[in-house]
Amino acid sequence: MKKSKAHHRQDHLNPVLDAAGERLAQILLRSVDTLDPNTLQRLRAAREQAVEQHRMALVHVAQTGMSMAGHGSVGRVDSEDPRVPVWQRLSSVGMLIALLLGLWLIDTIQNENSLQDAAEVDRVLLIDDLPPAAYLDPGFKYFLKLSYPTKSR
Amino acid sequence: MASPKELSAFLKDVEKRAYKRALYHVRNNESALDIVQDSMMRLAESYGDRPANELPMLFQRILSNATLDWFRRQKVQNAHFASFGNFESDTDEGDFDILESLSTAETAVAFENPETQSMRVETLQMIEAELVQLPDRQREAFLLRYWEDMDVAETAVAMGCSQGSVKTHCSRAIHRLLKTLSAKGIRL
Repeated sequence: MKKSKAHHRQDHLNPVLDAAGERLAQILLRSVDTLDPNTLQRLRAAREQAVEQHRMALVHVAQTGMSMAGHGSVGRVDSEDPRVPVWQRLSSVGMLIALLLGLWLIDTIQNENSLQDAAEVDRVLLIDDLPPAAYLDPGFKYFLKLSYPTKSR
Repeated sequence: MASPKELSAFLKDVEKRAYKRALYHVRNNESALDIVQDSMMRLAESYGDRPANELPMLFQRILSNATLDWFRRQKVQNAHFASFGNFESDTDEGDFDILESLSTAETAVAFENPETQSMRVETLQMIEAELVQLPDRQREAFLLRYWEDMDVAETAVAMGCSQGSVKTHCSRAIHRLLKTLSAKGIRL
């Protein structure tokens, strides 16, 4: 109990002690004015280095902010950049449609040409004279038998 | 956010006291300068984005930590570093009467007389000599509270302890300083 009372008393700094502490500090603070020039110079150099570091950090933060803003605008160009006019976007779509139509047209024409070539070959074969050797071909004979059953009989 | 100009003005204002405070702790000129420089750089690098009014408390905390780091490094380098053990030690104050060691207002005025210049220097040196002999926590509390003119709450935050501990450390430090100075015939 006695010990706790003593501890409690120490927790309260009385005004006399406070005044004594301030007076001691006032005397001690006079030593600050007697620092040698070399120490002052080194303190100044340290301060300037720290301030320069702070300045560089501020510049870095500013550059980072600008860079992020730049990246944001680049991202919009691909999708919805309002600076791209409507006619330019429509012309891009029109060119894409024209390209697809052209490819479809080329494919259609090539198919038509190949059909015409096959028809021409068939036509030439059909109107040409039958060679005598054709009658020796068993397949042809079978074809004639099926096509003209009465004549062959 | 503090501007470079505000940071420069703040550091210029505190650099001398910071150096002396570090010197009282480590008792080595080069080490004290290194600690102050390290603290300045830490403040600029890690807390430069804080408002200017937060810089004093942050810097005092950084300086305390930098000093503690220095002691830790010394402890690693020298396993028998005796002074570091003083961080938690305390001394008894006995029945010393504070009022006896304090001079009256008239005496204080006489103390400022230019004729007593050598006496003032001698007193200053004695106080400094006794200050460095204090246990580290007592010295830190005394310097933050009276040297840096912080209140008890700010000192507690800077030291990372309770306000009660700050008052105890300060009380014991002042008792010990006054008692020692009084024994040498010096009255404030």
